[in-house]
Amino acid sequence: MTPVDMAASLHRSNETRMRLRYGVNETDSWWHFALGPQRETIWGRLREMDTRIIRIFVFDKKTPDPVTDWHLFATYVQAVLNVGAIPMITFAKFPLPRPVDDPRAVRWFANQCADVVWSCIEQWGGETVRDWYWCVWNEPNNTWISGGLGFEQYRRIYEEVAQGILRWLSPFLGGCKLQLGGPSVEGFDPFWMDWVWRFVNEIDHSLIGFVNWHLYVDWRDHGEKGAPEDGAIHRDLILFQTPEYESRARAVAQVVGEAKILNVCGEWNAHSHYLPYVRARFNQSMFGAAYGASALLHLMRGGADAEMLWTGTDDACGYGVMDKDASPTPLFHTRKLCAQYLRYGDWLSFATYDHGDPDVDVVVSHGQEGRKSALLVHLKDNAATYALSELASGLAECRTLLKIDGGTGNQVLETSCDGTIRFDGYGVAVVTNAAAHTDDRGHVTWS
Amino acid sequence: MTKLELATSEMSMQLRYGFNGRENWRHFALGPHREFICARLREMGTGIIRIFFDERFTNPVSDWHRFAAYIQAILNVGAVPMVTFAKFPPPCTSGARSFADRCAEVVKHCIEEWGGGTVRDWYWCVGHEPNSEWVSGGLTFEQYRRIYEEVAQELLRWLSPYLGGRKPRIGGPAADGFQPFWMDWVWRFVNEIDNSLIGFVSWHRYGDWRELGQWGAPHDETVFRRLLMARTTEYETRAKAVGRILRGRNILNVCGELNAHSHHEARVSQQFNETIFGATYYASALVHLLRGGADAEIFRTGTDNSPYGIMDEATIATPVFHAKKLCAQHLRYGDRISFPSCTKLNSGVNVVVARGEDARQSALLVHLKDQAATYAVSDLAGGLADCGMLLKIDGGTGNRVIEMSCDGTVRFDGYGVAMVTNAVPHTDEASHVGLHDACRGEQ
Repeated sequence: MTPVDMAASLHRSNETRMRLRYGVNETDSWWHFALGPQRETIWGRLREMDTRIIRIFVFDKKTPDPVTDWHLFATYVQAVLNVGAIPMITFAKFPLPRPVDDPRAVRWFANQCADVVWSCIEQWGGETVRDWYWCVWNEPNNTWISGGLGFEQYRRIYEEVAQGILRWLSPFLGGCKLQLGGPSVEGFDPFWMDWVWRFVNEIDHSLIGFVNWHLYVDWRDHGEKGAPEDGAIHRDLILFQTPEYESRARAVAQVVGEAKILNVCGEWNAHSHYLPYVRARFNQSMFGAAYGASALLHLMRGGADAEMLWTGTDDACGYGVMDKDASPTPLFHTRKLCAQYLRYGDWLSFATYDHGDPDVDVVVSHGQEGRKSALLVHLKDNAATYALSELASGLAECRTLLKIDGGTGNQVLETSCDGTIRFDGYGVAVVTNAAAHTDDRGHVTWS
Repeated sequence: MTKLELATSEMSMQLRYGFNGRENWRHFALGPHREFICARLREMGTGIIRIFFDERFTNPVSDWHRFAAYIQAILNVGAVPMVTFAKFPPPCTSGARSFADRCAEVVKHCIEEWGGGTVRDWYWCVGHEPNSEWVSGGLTFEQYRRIYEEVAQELLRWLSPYLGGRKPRIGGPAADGFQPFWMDWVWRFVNEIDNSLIGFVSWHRYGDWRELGQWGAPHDETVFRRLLMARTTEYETRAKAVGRILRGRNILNVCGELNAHSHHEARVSQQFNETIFGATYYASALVHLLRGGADAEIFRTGTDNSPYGIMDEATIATPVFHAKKLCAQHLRYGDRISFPSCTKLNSGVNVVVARGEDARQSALLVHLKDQAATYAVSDLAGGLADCGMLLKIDGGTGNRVIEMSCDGTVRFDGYGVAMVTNAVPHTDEASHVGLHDACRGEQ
């Protein structure tokens, strides 16, 4: 019996298998990620966060054009592979002003996409490229981003692109499913679910590998467009809504049913204000770190298959978990804690306490070789102390405490655990019986 | 009544059925068919009827006689009113005091007419969709809160001598659920207003408001209907989200308006609301509200030619009336209800099993697809072997519920609602529902 089998045989009925793949988007600051002087440090940081999927863009976001500048584009993709991740290449949109209703324009776009796939196969080989993810369009339901595309128009584009890509990939799939997906739906739209439902119900399932949906909880600054004027109230309100990740993941799972289609939250963060300095206050603070950890827990509860934070590297964009010099934000540290202690294949149980008390989210994980950990997210901007035994049982052997909060100065402190955990404002903590350590290339070892 | 024992998979049915009497109050209170309408409302187990204090319909201050007739009609049904102080005269905040005074006048008059011991159990809702610019002209939450607090204080002044430790049944914000940030209003309502002034939180949910092919809605009517039906799960997620805010606060969770389609023109919404589709939509929404732990649902409907009708002014019932009546008769307050897990991934059917007093047992089946399907009852839920009666309305029953013995399967002809049960209800002349054991009756 392998350790994984042993862990499986010991799981209890209230436990679920951790099946979430961690990922990030690398778009606006792609140059720093792919070519910048600190790129190798950035790659190491991404490995520390167990980044398995990196979503990159073509035909948008001023990323390299694979048609006119293949070499630069190939460098961008190679950076993803150097991390040890798989790319999700997003064919973001038509270069304007091509009309989406013109069949020739749709065919032209599909050919462009297919050419990218063909070139990738030429460069990296079909056996490698067949595992990659391909995403058609970005937020087609958002008028600001896509100019008000209708679902019928999107479906025509999707099907044409899918057929074009399949032509090149099918010789290598060998029975595996094409990892093509969409619609990367923007989650503020009250009818966002229309797109997911119609995507799954109106397109041939053999052409769908995954459903991609996006969720930011807010885009408004304090007092803007009906948001609370008081910053503390606004932050409480935003944090209260992290269970939305769970309910949306479940809603998408219900639409997908038993079809072999992955459920992917392809873009998320706390805040998407149009000005970087505003959203940075939410995303790149300790608040953003607590939000991010809570969102991850709820995605796990909801059964999502993958998540891709917006974003990894960030040169003054107000989203990233590290800047162009690879300096981490608090969310980097909490994502790393999640990646180290909530690992793919672990058995997870969500203490009932986390929904009974809005101040803290709790998840307990059992992994290989008796590894046991609990991750706590403190959702309030005040000091609080929790007795571990009141949050979850069976953690007496977890003697190591790792914590980041308002008092730790943007770093994780490792101490011994005396059975209580004290938070100084928003924070994330892990108690464990097996502390993880990372080498200078971002690979994890255990003690 | 003794409290029923709950199995671990069961929960207590705590939902009250309700009815919105917005547009149709004249037919209901004063029309020639008012007694028949009252009887119909009793048949649907109506416990709450929401009415509006809005000069467009009736003004209780200047026209007390008609308003009192309206209230009396509700009491004749055996329900309690939810009086909604709907419209705030501008300017919203500087006029809050006089608006609160006028609301308090209504309460005072009601106490004088019906007595404080009766009136204390009524619901008072402050505002109607204040978060909707269309409905309330861009009111901010801060403005709304000020109005709410003024009104609640004034109402309490009259109600408090009769409450005897009870919480006042004053609530709001009756938030429009189409707004992207509707949850802001619920959260702030509960977190920023003294909870001693809040008896319930009300939120609204319709499946859609768009015409076919407009504003991104599907052009194809079949696709549109399927999509609408697929979204009934949102009643559960929303009820749960609101419930999370309310946990431990002794505040009721009320879905204060629901229906399939909210378009104001009958040519658009009637086909969704007043058909077997609408009946199925309602039943599915109800199942999800039960799962979500809502305390009350107040169906948006009318007793006239509005596009939301459950019956017309001549009391001809639409399919949703029959579906609501089936639910009310067999899923009763205090029943032990469970949701068989076998249907979790089967998006074709919703199932809820109810066990009541005297071994009464029923299972509600809601068939969500416009195609024929047959279900073996034993595949959907266990322990229903003695449910020998089947009541059903679907595309093949001609706008009525047919009653027959159940052979262990239920066949639907398109969208439909069915109940398998061991106790068939009967309705007496006053529309009071009683039950007899169908199987025993046959022996």
